[in-house]
Amino acid sequence: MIGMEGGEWEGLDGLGEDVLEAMKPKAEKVMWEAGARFAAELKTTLTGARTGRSYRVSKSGRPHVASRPGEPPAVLTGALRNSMGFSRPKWEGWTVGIEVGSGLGVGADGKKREVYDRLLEWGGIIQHPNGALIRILPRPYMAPTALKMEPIIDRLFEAGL
Amino acid sequence: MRWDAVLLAVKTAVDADSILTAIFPTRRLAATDQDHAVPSLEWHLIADSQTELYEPVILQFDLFLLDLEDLITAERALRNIFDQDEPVSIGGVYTWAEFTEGSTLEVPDESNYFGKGLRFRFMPIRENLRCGRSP
Repeated sequence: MIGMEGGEWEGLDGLGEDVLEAMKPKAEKVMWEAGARFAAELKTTLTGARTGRSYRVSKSGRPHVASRPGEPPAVLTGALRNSMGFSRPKWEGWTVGIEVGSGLGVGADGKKREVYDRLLEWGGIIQHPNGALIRILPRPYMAPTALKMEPIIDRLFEAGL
Repeated sequence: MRWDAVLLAVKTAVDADSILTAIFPTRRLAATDQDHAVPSLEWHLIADSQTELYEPVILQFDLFLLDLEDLITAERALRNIFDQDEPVSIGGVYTWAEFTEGSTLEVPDESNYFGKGLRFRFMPIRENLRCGRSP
């Protein structure tokens, strides 16, 4: 019951929390949808033809067209694309979050995948077995997808909540 | 489109900063895989987009250094220029600018060789909303 006693409102202390508690299932549903769409868009980003150097893949013998710097990585085995997924919504207090990215889908295989995926997204320098240093420029896939998804996810939240 | 103006503005701002020019003799827009120099500062266009009012641009700066103190000083200098609470004029382009994320980069000798990537988001006003006014 809400009432006014001695100049102060009573009964309001728990009201905000009750409202937030009631919104939790809806917020989780929106997060699930946002995560699914983001992961799907990541897979789309990682699909398609690229315009970099072409070279022969030794085992299969077929030519592989690599990505140019600045393009998302080209598909060779599909491991990176298949590793894209999203986590369950996680609550910290009244804030719900979700993780999207590599290592959360099928075929994720831990630390090695993490280093390789970071090298693709951010670039770096690797050492060839012959000792030469090779500069790898970024082939970003997360950042361009996130920029593209921002307005879509904003609209999801506006519509869903 | 505004990403081109942002790239040029960034070069102007970096070349005008005495701390960055002292630490990095090599400062350039990295467009292709090329010879690597240490120390060096490179930047790339990561993504650009368009909203109702702005044309967001994300740039990544790559810092390669042999000295940790220089890395700290250089990152602080970049953030002082490109991480702002209000819109500012950077290299002649009026824009919002904020630091978004950083990551260590793969480098061959992790004990004596530092590689750090820093991403910044720039939000200049949309080209067709400028109406011939200031950049």
